[in-house]
Amino acid sequence: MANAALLDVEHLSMHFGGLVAIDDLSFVAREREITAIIGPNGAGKTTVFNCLTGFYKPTVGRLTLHHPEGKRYLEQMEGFRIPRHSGVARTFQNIRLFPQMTVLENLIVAQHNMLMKASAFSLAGLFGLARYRNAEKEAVELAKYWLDKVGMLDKADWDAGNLPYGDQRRLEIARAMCVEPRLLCLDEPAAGLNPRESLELNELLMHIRDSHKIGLLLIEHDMSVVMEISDHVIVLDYGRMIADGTPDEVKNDPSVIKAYLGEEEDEELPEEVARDLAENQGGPNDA
Amino acid sequence: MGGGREFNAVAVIKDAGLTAFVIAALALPLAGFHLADSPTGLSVELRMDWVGYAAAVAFFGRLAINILQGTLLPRYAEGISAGSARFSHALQRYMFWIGLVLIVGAVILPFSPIANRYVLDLTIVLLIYIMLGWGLNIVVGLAGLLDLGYVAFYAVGAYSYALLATHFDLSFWICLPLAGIFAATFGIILGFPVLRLRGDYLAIVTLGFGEIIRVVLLNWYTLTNGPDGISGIPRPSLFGMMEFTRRPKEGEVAFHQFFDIPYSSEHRFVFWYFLILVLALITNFVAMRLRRLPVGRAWEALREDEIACRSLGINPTNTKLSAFALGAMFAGFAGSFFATRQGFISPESFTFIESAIILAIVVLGGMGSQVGVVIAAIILVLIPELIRELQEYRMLAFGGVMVLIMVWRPRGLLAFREPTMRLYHPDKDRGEG
Amino acid sequence: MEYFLQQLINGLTLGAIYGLIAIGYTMVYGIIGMINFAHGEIYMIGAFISLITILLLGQLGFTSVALILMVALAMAMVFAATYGWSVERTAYRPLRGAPRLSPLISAIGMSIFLQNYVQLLQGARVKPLQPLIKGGFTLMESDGFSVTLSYLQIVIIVLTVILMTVFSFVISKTALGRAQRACEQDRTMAGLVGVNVDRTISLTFVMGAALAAVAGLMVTLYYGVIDFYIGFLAGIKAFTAAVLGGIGSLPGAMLGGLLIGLIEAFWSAYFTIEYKDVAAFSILVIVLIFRPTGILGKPEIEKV
Repeated sequence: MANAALLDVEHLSMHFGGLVAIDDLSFVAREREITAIIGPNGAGKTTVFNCLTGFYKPTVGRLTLHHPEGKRYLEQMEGFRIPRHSGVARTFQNIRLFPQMTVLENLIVAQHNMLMKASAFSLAGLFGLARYRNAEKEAVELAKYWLDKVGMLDKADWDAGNLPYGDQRRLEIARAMCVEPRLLCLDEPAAGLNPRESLELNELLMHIRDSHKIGLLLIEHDMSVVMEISDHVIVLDYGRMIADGTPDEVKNDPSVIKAYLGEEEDEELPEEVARDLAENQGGPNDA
Repeated sequence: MGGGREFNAVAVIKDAGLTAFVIAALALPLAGFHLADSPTGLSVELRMDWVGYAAAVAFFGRLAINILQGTLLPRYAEGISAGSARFSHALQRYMFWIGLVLIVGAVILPFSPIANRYVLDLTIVLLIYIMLGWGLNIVVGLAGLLDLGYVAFYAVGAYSYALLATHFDLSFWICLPLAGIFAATFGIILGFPVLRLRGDYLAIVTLGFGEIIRVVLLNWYTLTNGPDGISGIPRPSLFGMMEFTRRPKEGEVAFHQFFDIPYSSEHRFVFWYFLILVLALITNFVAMRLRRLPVGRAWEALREDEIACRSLGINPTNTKLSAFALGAMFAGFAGSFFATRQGFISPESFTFIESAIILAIVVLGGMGSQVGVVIAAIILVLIPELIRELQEYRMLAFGGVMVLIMVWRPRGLLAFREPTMRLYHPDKDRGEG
Repeated sequence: MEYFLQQLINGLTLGAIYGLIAIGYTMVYGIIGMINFAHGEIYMIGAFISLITILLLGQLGFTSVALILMVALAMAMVFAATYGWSVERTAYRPLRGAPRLSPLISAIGMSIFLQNYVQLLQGARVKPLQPLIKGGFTLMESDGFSVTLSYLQIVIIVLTVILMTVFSFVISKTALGRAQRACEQDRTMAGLVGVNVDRTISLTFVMGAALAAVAGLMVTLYYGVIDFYIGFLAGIKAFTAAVLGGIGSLPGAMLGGLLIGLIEAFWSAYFTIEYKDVAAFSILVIVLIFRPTGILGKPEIEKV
């Protein structure tokens, strides 16, 4: 039985003046699945994220998030309300941590809404009431859980800005998870990671999918990540969807190959170039 | 860097010469000529010796700096930087104790031998600025909002207090909170339309508001008495029970009578001193407490990255408004105190320069640092007061000091952030590799 | 109708002066993203230098108004440019990588310093000047009220137009202009492709200062009285004008300047003169609420 639909994108289009960034995109992302959005640079992938998370207002389209308390129409919601009411969290292409705050504080800020409610808009907090103190303890526990999962528990008191690059990426993911989302959107989480770190990232994302029963939406260029862990791949090119299926289906789809690699060159090489090539081919590899 | 570079005397002299030349060029039109009043209007007199002095000072000063940098400094550079790093670390670790010492010192000051009316008066002025600095710190230091018109809230507090006290004859202890509420409301009304503007635009708009308030106060004669100001503001009594005068009103007991001690005008000053001290400390404690609550963390997160905040479900407008309104409220309290202490207020006390001084205190001290505000206030407010003989040069030096401190320490004097929450003991490595 | 026309002329003249100062603000903001608080003081210094030059030449016996004005213009521009350059070198360049508020405080400190510097050197009293350019055209008359366009007003407006044209040319067609635009968009990259960033920034300050000096000369002739404090108020209004027109945009600065000048003239004529300084601010707030980047400003799309 297929997993329940989590995010329903219907006929999403985004125009910036005359520029068409996304053109009539429709897809479904499901719970307990990792859905990857891939495509050449400039295909509109981050634009999709920005529409989903309230940074852009879609020109056309309906973005439905299936929340246990009812459907949420993301295209109508103000930016900051989306994480709050729909449970959509995201990470950014250029890491956006709070550099002067510590690792732990970054994760506590993510739980802001829960803590604000518990502190009755700071009044309970000001007077040190138990209700707030308990909520804060819970928040720290959740932060510790995720720090442990990303392997940074010992760096909890470090300033986030002092972390090495790979740790910063993982911290951003941990922070997004502290929002306790239903849909986690990751914008190029593997960018700049070495192969070992990419493997660890894969494990982390699969763990999130399996143990926390949420849906993940992933923009990625690193095919070792995409092909390894995705359940569902969507390929964009020039804002349009050109493929939608399992990793294997997409890998062998000719239009996808064409979009990434271009067509085969039919023309003949110029004479001088052909001559050079022939000469060099006989060169260094000869015994 | 050791002593690898040769000391190039020619280059150093040329550099000093260039500096002197530029200084002479700057001084020439404004110092070299003097506009003097003469029977036929203005006339221009020569004053070229001033240009000569300026050039000479520039030449030798620059020469001295270059020589120092070229010879002495490299030799001691490592020692100096290691020493200052150790000093900063120590400062950071013992910040709590330093703060405690300052507070205790402030409490016992009136009872110490050096305390007289002049000293108390001076510290009262200092404490008002410190309180304003701590209040603005919430807006600028914690929430990162560029407010160039903080004096507007100070003025609203002072005038609301004055009007409430003189027209409705309410006691200080009722007017003070009311004035604070007025100021906070004002902050919300002001803040709501403008807080979503980008940083620098917010700066110019808040600057504008400060000026608007001043002009309104100056011209709305029926409400504020315009440039004549409001006088006869009643003095506060101790919890509405005791007065500090020699001859109390009918049916009321005077402070000195109650405690059976001889009357001294100093009593009133000591009372005022403790009043402002308590108000300032309340400002400080509330700000520090809120910093550890979600709202305070949201302020700091907003300062760091507003887009990330939105992605975590934090409402940026409401968060900014809360900082703005709270800062306004404390300025309102400070304004009330100012009004009651002076007994008379006029729009002249609420000019842009006041906003600039308070902002300078916050930034020079090191944004977000409470002790830093105290030190910066001492430098910018206390020291100029103490060298009153050079009154003319006071503002000149003030501006110069602002520039110098910023150039020397761009992040402020005490620019480190104390985390609001720790998982481990502070001595553990903070990853400052 | 006649009254309206007169206010229009007065407003445009005043607006031209504000526009010249506003250009300095907008250019500096565009290239290093900071509000040069001391710019108003450069304008004030330009006014003082003009006054001193004019009086000095008069004392030395020169009578040709054209000659006096040209020398005053040159002197004001050269020395104000030197001040602008020095201010940038001492108070702003060391703070180039610092957090945003630091150069702002430094600028405010510099502004206070320069105000008091001039006050100490030349005294706090206002400095008057006899009108140099007198007379003008009477455009129309009715009911005893005549609409006049004075020669001075013509000089101001023509000079402003010339300067605007020259500057627009420099920005769009010369290497310096290209270097400036490159630094505005990406300072690091501009440095990497060989632009001398320090020199470009210094030249920006110098150009802005020169324009402010011209405005200073104009105001000295137009109002006939100056003091050390004129920089502050004109500075705020000119910066308001720059923001109103869209910060970073040269035509925006001039447009904003003209608007502020017109607002001031019409407000003091038709409403109350006491609140005229405040009218400009109020208009700014209203405009920013609806168009946060100013009238000609480019709307910023958040890059996430």
